[in-house]
Order: sequence, then C-alpha cells, then structure tokens
Amino acid sequence: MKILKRFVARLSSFTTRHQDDQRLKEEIAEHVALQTAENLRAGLSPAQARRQALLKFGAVESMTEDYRSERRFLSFDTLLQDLRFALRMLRKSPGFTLVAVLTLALGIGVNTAIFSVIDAVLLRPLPYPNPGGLISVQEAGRGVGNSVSYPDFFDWQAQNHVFSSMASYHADEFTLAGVEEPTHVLALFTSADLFKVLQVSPLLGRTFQPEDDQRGHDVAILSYSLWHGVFHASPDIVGRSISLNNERFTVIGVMPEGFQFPPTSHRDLWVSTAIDRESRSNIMTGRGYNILNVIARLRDGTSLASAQTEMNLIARRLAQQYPKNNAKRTTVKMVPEIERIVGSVRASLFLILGAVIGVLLIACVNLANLSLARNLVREKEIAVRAAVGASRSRLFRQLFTESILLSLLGGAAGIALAAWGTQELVRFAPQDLPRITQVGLDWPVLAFASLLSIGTAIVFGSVPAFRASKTNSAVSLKDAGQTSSQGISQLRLRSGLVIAETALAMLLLIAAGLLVSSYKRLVSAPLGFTPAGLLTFTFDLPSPPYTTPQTVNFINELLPRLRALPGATAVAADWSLPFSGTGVSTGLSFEGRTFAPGNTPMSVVDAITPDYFQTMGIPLLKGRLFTDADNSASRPVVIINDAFAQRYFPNENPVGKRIQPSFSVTNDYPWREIVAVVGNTKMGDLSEDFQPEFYMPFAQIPNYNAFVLKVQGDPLTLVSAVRATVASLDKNLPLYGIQTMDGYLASSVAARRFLTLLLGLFATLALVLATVGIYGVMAFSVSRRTRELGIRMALGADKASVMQLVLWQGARLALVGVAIGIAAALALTRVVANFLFEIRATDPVTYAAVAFLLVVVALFACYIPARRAMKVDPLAALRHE
Amino acid sequence: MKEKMDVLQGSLALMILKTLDVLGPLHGYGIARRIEQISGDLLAVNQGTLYPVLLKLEQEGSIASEWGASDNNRRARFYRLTRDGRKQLQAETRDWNQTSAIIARFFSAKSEDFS
Repeated sequence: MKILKRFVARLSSFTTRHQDDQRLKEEIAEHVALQTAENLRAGLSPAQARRQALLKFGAVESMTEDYRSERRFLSFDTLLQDLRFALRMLRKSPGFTLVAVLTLALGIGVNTAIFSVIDAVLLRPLPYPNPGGLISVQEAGRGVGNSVSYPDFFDWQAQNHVFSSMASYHADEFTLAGVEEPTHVLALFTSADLFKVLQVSPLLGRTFQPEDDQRGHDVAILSYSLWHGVFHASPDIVGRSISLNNERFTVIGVMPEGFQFPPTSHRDLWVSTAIDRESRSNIMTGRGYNILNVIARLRDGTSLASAQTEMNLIARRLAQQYPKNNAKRTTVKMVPEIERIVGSVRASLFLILGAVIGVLLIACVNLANLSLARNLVREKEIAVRAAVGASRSRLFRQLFTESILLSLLGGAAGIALAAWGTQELVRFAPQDLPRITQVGLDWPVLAFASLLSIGTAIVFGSVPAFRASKTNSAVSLKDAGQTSSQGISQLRLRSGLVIAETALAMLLLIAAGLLVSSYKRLVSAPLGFTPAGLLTFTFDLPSPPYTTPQTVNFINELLPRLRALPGATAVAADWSLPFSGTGVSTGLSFEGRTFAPGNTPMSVVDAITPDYFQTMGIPLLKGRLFTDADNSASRPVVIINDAFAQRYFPNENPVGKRIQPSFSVTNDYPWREIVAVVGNTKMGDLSEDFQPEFYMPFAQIPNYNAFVLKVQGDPLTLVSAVRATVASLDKNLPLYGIQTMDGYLASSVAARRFLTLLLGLFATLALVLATVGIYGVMAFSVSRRTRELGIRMALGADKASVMQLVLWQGARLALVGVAIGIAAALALTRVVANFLFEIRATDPVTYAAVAFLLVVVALFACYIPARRAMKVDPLAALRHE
Repeated sequence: MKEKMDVLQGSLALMILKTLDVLGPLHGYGIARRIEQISGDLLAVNQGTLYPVLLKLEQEGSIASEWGASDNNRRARFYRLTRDGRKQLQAETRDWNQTSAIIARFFSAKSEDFS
C-alpha cells in the first residue's frame, strides 16, 4: 500500500519536478535563515552565525541528490551516464555489436512483418459501423451446403426476432453496354435491407428501399471505381438508365470510395433482387435452389447464443413443414461476419507466427550466449567496478542498459527489414488471402515492434546482467579470469541454452519438413487431365438477342475458327471447368433403383462440346465419346467418369444403363443413356478425392461457363488472336476470365505454397541461428579449456582423441536438443496435422531426415573449434597461465 | 554503507513522527531543533538529511505539508501528522519498545543467565 502511494507520488512528481526543486530551495533558505537568527541571538557575529548555520545544515548538494532520488524512479543523470557508457562499450567491440544487432534485426524483423500481416488480415475490424453485430447466417445440417434458398430466407426474415435486419446476396456477372466499350462487370444481387444491415450511406443518391425488391424495380447502385472509370464521375449519374446484359437498369446511387461488399471481394455494382423475380422466378419460390448468402445485424442486447437458439427453432420448424428440401437443414450456422472472412486463414497465420516466435527465441538465446561470453571477458572490469563501490543494482542497471540499447538498435534495423519483408510477403501471398493488400507498417505494427524490442532485451539481457552483477570481486580480481569457477557454471548455463535452441530449431525443421513433403505430394497428385498448354477464357452471350438456339449456333460457328488458329490443337466449351470455381452438384435417379429419401445420389454435373476430352487429355475408358450427331434432336446421352462408375455401378458395365439427372435448362428431365466412362479429374482442390461426375453434350444442355483451348507452346500468346476471332462474330462481347490452366492450378495451391515457403524459410533461419549458437558455445568452451587440453596433450593424448573430445561435447548437446525437439514435435502433432496431405504428422522419414540434417550441421559447427583444439600447443597452453 | 543509512533514516522518521505528534504542525527547522533539543548533543545529524525523509514520509501519506508563515513572518513549509501517520507512529512505537526491551534484556543479562 505504502509502495503504491509512493509510486503514484513519484509518477506525479514527473510533471512537477521543477516546482519541487523550487520548494526545496525555498525550504533550505528558510531553514538556514532561522538557524542564523538563532545563532545571532546566541551572540555570534553575523558572518559566523551564517557559517555555523550552513555547517549544521550539512552538504546541500548531496542532500539535494538524496531528495531527488527519493522523488524519481531513477536519476536521469545516471541513465545518461549508463547510456553513454553503453554506447562506448558497443563501439569498442564492433564485431559483437554487429552480430548482435543483425541477429536481433532478423528476429524482430520477421516477427514484425508477420505481425503486420496478422494485424491487417485477422485483427482489424470490418470497415462498417459497429462491425461486431454483423452475423453471417448459413444453413447447416448433415451433408448440406451453407447456402440458403430464397423461400428459407424469406421465412427467416419474417419469423426471427433476434436480428434488427437481414439481407440476402448472391454474385453474378454482366456485360455493361451502352458505354464507350462494352465492359464485363461483377455484380451482387442483394435484397433491399443490405445497406441497412451494414449501416452505410451512399455517396450520391440513395440505397435500396423495400419496394426495390418488387418486379419492375430494376435498380442499381454503382461502386465508386465503376462510376469513376466507366462513367467519368458524371455528376448526373443518378437516375440514368444503363444496360446490363441488355436489360435496362436505373442507377439510384453511388457508394463512397473504398466501400466493398462482400468485405473482401471487389464488386462493380449492386442490383436489387427485382431481376431475380422477373427472369428467374423459379429460384424465388423453389426451396431446392440454395444460392444465397445471408448477412444480418444482431438486435442490440441480443447475444449470439440466444439468436442461435431462435434460428435453430425456425430451421427445425421449416424442416418439418418442408421435408422434401429441408429435412436435413435442421440447424442454422451463425458466425460473425469477420469470422466468415478470415476464419479459414487464422490457423495458417498462427502457425507462421509460431515459427517466427521460435526464430526470435533462438535469436534471444544466441544473444544471451554472446552476452554471457562477453561478460566473462569483462569479468575483471565488472569486479573493479564492484570493488570501488558500485552496488549490485547499479551494475545490473548498467549492463541491462547495454542490452536495451542493443535491442533498440536491433529493433530499428528490424523495422527496416520488416518494411522490405512486408512488401515481399504481400507480393508472394496468395491472391485470395483476405485483406492482404491492406498490410503495411502502421502504428499498431510499430508499437508491436517496439514492445518486442524491449521484451527481447528483457529475455536475453536479464540473465547475463544478473549473473554478472553477482560477481564476487575478490575471486575475480585474484584470478586471471581464465580458470575461474564462474566459467564452468556459466558453461553449464550456456550448454542449456544451446540445447534449448537446438530443440526449437528441430521443432521448426520438423514442421517445415512435413509441410514440404506434403506440398510435394500435393502438386504431384494425379489431376486426371493435362494442364500444359491450356488457355481458358469466356464471354457472355446476352439474351436478348441470343436465344438458346442462337447461342448453340454461335458456339458451333466459333469453335472451328478457334481451332484453326495457328498453334491451337483442340478447343471445347465447358460448363464446369476444373479449378475455375464453377463446379455444381445435382441429384439424380437410376433406372430400376430407389433410394431412401434424403439419400439421393449426388454427382458433379457438366456440359461439354464433343472435343472436350481430347482438349483436356482425359482418357476414354469405355464406350464412345460424344459426336456432333448427339444434338437436341437425338437421343439424350451422358458420359460418366470412373469414380461415378465405381460408386454407382461397382460390379457391372455402366455403358447402356440409363440415369436421370435432376438438372436441366428446360423443364424437361429426360432419362439419359450412358455411352462412355472416362477418367477422373480433380475438380478444384488437389487434396480432395476424385468425385463422381457426369457429362452431357452441350448441344442437349446448352450451358457453358468457359472455353478451353489446347495450344502448342505458351497459351498466352494466343489471347489477342482469340479476342479478334470472337470479335469477328460479335464485337460487343468483352472477354474475361483469361487464364491458363497452370495459372488456375497455381492459385489453387497458392495458400499451401505460401505457408510451406514461409515455414521453410523460417526453419532455415532457425537452423542457421542455432548453428551459430552451437559454434559460439563450442569456440568459447575450447578457448576456456586451452590449459586443460594442453595438459591432456602433454600427458600423451593424441590429436584425434582431443578432436573427438570436443566434437563429442558438441554432438551431445545437439543430440539432447534433437531428442527434446522430437518429443515436442510429437506432442504438437495436432498443430500441423490439419495442414498435411497424404503424410502423417509423425512421419518417421521426415523426423529422421531432419534429425540427421541437424546433427550433421551441429557437428560441422563443432568442427572448427575442434580443429583449433587439436592444434593447441601444450607448451604454450601451460605457459599461458 | 547503504544499510547503515537505512537504519538511521528509519529512526529519524520515527523521531519526526513523534515530534509532530507531540508538538503539532512544525516547519523543517522547528522539527530539527526539537530533535536536537530532546536528543541533546548525542545525535550529531546534519539537519539537511531531514528533508529527504520528510519527502518520503509525505509520499507515503504519513505526513502532509502546506505553506504557512514562520516566526519571522516569512513563507515556510509546515508539516503535520495525518491519521495514517498517527497509526504508523503507534505501530512503530510499539515495535520499537518491544525491540529495545529485548535488546535491554540482552544487555542486562549476566553470564550465568546463559548457562
């Protein structure tokens, strides 16, 4: 209590320092005056009276110093003195300073860079008012997706009492015409309440109102960038009519610069759901069409848990009311919107953070080791200081000031490193890492770096400073320092530190090793098609004017022209191209079989032009491929893949059997005869198993999402020729989605690649730092043992056995470290298991390889000091004392 | 060295508290005079050492101070005991008495008492 009071008083005296000095001066003057008056009364002469008074008062200076130190945390003068001294010491040993600052810069730099990513991606709130109340509401249940159907959404909206507002949205793309150049734009269909949920207002005009959801209200809100880019920031944009896929929309507003929704994906405009009502009325009423995302704002004072309870009740009610579609949708999944955005990347980022903290710890251990060695060299100096009256706390403070100064220097260098590293991180980061573009060195990050520097100083500086301040001056002064007992107990401490850093490095290397072999397995996993030389692109054929037959004709005319391009060898239109993110599943029936309700067979569905399999390099296993004769007039046919055949026709020949997909562009669901079985393909994730898939001829199901062109050589050289070919048929069709299949594949593994790369990098850093640490300790140990080694050699030990002695000493430390590292890795398998593909977190090959690598590197680090030990001249070593 | 100082400071603080308890508010010189008078010439303390102790006591809340007029009508800082200070004085007086009683007993002990 007393201490607390003094603390507060001292804290407040920080601001009143000048006043307090004034007060003391005045009190002293008064004191001396009173004493002088007293002395005068006693009969002394005025001069004598004052002199006696001053004598009695004592030394004003030392008293003032006591008074001040009573008042302050620490004397500013002492601090300055320590700092000056520390600077001098660091300048005097530039080698030590350089190594220490570099080590620190590495440790602090990588941590700061990674923290800046974590800060921008995970920690920053969403850029809407009161972002905590924004909840993503999803359907849930065994074997169902997260998307919501319009009827379910309407029921949720009407029946809940826990959300103040709720809105649905789904993405679509349009061709914006009637402007200088037809443009492909990204749109979001949203129900009227979206902007109420987000609590944002437009820059110009208004946002949606409830009537905008009704037929005839085709209205759009533009993004700032679209308004600027295409409409040249025209001030009279509100009220203007624009053409999207040849439908007229009225612009009712423009959003402010920087506004985005969904939070991390770019959209050019937001349109009301009126168009869904007009042109796709089936999705408005069909509970089977699960295409919506739902975002809602929690009512003030409602907890997520109570909202969950009510939404689950509603879901169960709907499941009973509409068992056909909702039987399995008995719960509702609710997650904060920020969680929906960043939840999936949290684990990877934390794994990376763990790795860089490991690197920093190793850096700290190395520095502690360095400082210990240096303090031993300075033992005499410290002993002299203690002997002439420096208290232990004073010595501690002085040495600790040096550590703080070092780590601040290291921190500054680290921030510079982080500034560069952050840019590189952003450059190499996967494109789909949310909010990665907002990464930068801002105040929170700088504050983090500063705290880290000071924390680092405490970790690496306090132990050496504490030990040095304990120096027994009598012993140290007497000994030359070479054989003092302190050296031996220090060596024990330093060996412990080396073991710790070896264990840490081992742990990181195991994690990195596992990720690397997992990644190698992943990218060499069979795809089922040949990605090399595949160019993909697409364009929309707006209706009107393109009716379904016209679309088929257009594509039938286009494909031969593309095929004729120089370098092109095959071309196809495809509805659900692997890795382009367009795969859709549908239910189906089998002739002569029944399945229990809720157990409907499902499969990925695709529609293709005849040359698709040849273009993609997918092998035909059985039967015949589609030809131009398979058209709308002919018998409905289908091709299945091997996984489909294995699952649904395990012991029979599927060719000739009939299935009925519940997928159609008309309201007609014909039975289709299986004409072939083809090889499996991965759909969009290399780590998943092959899925059942079936293909229908484009001529019978005229749906496409992409074109795929097989090219000899670099496919991107053909882009302008493709553009010209499409324009020769219709110049108002903007091409988009231009990408090579290799590009799609690369982005599908980009996140894993990034994680593997970073972890590999940091594990390598850890290995290098640990090697330096082992080298440092062994070199130190050899130089301390010069005399002992000299005696051994004088007594007849040969060079080889001396070398063996030193190597074994280092190898023992490394082996203990490796063992502890393996134990730690086995205890932490859970952490990496989720990131692995086709490799277990306890994979013995990886463990053995990493252990071998670490021991070899450690032996190499010991070899240099061991060679020096071998060359010790016994005579010189003995005379040295 | 430092430890000797602490003992001295401790007893000096006790003397200050007791003086203020008996005589009421006093300025620094007044406190120094009383301590000198009561201890006779046995305690040769530099009067200046008083001030850091006064500051410490004030920061701990045992005493409070304010400006007032001294005998010769000049501005002087007057110190007075607070309620906390009075409690602290009582507690420390008790401790001191106990300690000195024990020490006294040791000094009065004869060699046969130890056998």
